[in-house]
This record gives sequence, structure tokens and C-alpha cells, in this order.
Amino acid sequence: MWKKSEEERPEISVPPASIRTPQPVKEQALIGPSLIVRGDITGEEDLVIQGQVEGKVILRNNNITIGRNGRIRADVLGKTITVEGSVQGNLVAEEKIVVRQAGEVKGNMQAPRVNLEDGAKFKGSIDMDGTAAEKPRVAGGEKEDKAAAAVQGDLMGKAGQSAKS
Amino acid sequence: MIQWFRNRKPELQPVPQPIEQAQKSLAFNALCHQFPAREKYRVLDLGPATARNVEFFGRIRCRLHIEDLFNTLVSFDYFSASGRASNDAVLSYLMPFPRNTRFDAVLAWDLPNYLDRDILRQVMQHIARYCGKGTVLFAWVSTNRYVPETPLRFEIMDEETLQCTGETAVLRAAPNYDAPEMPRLFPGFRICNSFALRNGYREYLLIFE
Repeated sequence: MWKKSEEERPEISVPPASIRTPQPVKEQALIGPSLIVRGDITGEEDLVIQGQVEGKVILRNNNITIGRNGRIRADVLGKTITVEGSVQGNLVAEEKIVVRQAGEVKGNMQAPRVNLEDGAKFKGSIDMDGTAAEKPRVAGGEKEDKAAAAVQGDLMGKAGQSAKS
Repeated sequence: MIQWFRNRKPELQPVPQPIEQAQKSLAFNALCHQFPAREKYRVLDLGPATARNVEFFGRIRCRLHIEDLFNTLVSFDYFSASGRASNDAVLSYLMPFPRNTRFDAVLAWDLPNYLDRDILRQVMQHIARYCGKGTVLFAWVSTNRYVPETPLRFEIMDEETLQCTGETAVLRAAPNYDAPEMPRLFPGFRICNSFALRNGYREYLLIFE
């Protein structure tokens, strides 16, 4: 009675292998508000900082967000850098730097595009390319002032070392 | 310098609404056309950072230094173990530009109205170290009896239009510096252009020689 013939067994459709392959999930790390990090941070994933960081943050191909609770005294190198908290240090971005209304930056910023929202606090210098359509500057690929070159060169040297390891 | 800021008390006057106006500026327009042909410009903005100003200078190859000098001086809390630091030492600490810096333009906005003669001269003497022949300086000097208690917020709308916003309706006495005083207050600079505005300010374009 319960036995079904083979013809009556429902077919289970198996999706093609390409659909079954899981999509890669973009990794994002978080430094929580109670954490204090002293030293260099390098890697290959996006980072949100809600705690305190002293040192260097080198994530050249990734997005870095300094959240509202983030307090950093560090030089930062990333693809895009968004500041909602407080930064004392130099920011270098391959694509864009955004300082939100609640953000506060004391230091130098260098990126093809820099957006400052009204209300954001900033003291320092902003190195601008002149047009967002220009190819983003590769660190060390152009003549730069000693101060900016020192920051970038130092950060890129560390990034190169971490990539090799 | 610090004592000067702390002892100032605002004069409470019955006043109209805070200033908020778009102002045509011949001097700023002249400044924009004064830049010599160069691969990269250096601009010193003594006012606070604003989105529009960053966007304006972002259209040219430029290094924009933003100092927000008024708020920096007001909020600076210093102590010296060996006694009072000199104003020159304080200014070097607050504005530590790289030694080889040469600004093409200095935007003083209306800051001169908030510094007494000696302090203004010392501030400009410090800045003059980082200016070269041809550096242009833009400033608004009030000819009114009173100015807002804090500097106006200047936003660059385009090469000839500035949006000026007052943060407060409270007024203070204006120093009313006049044209013959300018070379002494801005050492190394001479007046290139000067325009009287209807709002009671006179705008100056000075050039470093």
C-alpha cells in the first residue's frame, strides 16, 4: 500500500552546480567600543572601528570606517575611509575619504575625492587631485611632498611586508 | 594672546537677525584669477572647514590647509612649566607648517576683526614665513562700529560669490582697521585691491612682495 513504484517517486530536481556554489561573503571586521588596540593593523577585509586604536591601520584594498565611538591616533591607509568618530593622524585613500557630520579629523588627508559634510570638524591639509574622473593616484607613483610621501611610503612599506608574509 | 581671548566680554546690543547673505566678491574673484600657472596650488584657509569650500578647491589640483584659527586660539589650553610661552612659540605650535611650505593664497576671511593689532601682526608675521612673492591674501575688515561676536562662516559658491552666515546675533566692538594700517598689520604684504561693500565691510586683496 505504501510502496510506491519507481515511476511514482517524485523527482528531486538538483540545481546545477553553479547555482549551488555559495556566494562569497564580504568579510568585515569590528573593533568594538571597549577594545583598545596599540600597534599596526593590516589585512584584507573591511574594518569598522568603534574602539580606540593607536598605531597604523593599513588595509589598502578595503573600506575602513571609524564609527561614532571610534577614537584613533593612527595613520590610516585604505580604499575608502569614512570618519564618524575622532581621528588624530593622516588618512590616505585610494578612492575616497568621507568625513561625516559627527566626524573630527586632525591630520592630513590625501585621496582623489574628499567629501566633508557640513558640521564635520577638520584641521590639517587636504591633498586633492582636481577631478574625481582622474585615475586614483597609486601611492608613490607621483611626486609628493616629503610629509605626504613619508606617510604613504611608510604605510605602503608595511603593507608590502604584510602582503609578502 | 590667550588672556586677550578669555577676558573679552560680549556687548549685548539689541540686534537684528544674524547675517545670512550671498555676497558678490570682486576681491575673491580677483584672487581666483591671480594664481600663477602652476601644477599644484597651496591654499591656507584660516576659517573652519566647510563642505562647499573643500568642494570648490577640489576642482583644481590643490593642497588646502584648513586652520580654523579663531576656534583654535579660543580653545587652546596651554601651560608652561617654565612660565608663559611666547606668542611666537604658541603660533609655531598651533600652525606647524612644513619648512618648505609656500602658500599661493591665504584666506583670512573676517578674522582680522577678532584680533587686536599686536596679535594680528604676530599671526601674520608667522604666516608670512610661508609666503612667497605673489602670494595673495583675502580679508574682510569691518568699517561698522560692531561685528558679530564670532567670525562669519564663509562658503564659496563660485569664483565671485560668497555665502556669509553669522553664528550669533550678539555683537562686539569692531577694531576698524583702515587702509593705511594694513601694511603694518600684514607685514610683507601690500594692498592690491580694495572694495567697499554695502554690508559695512571692506574687502582687501593683498599681495606679498
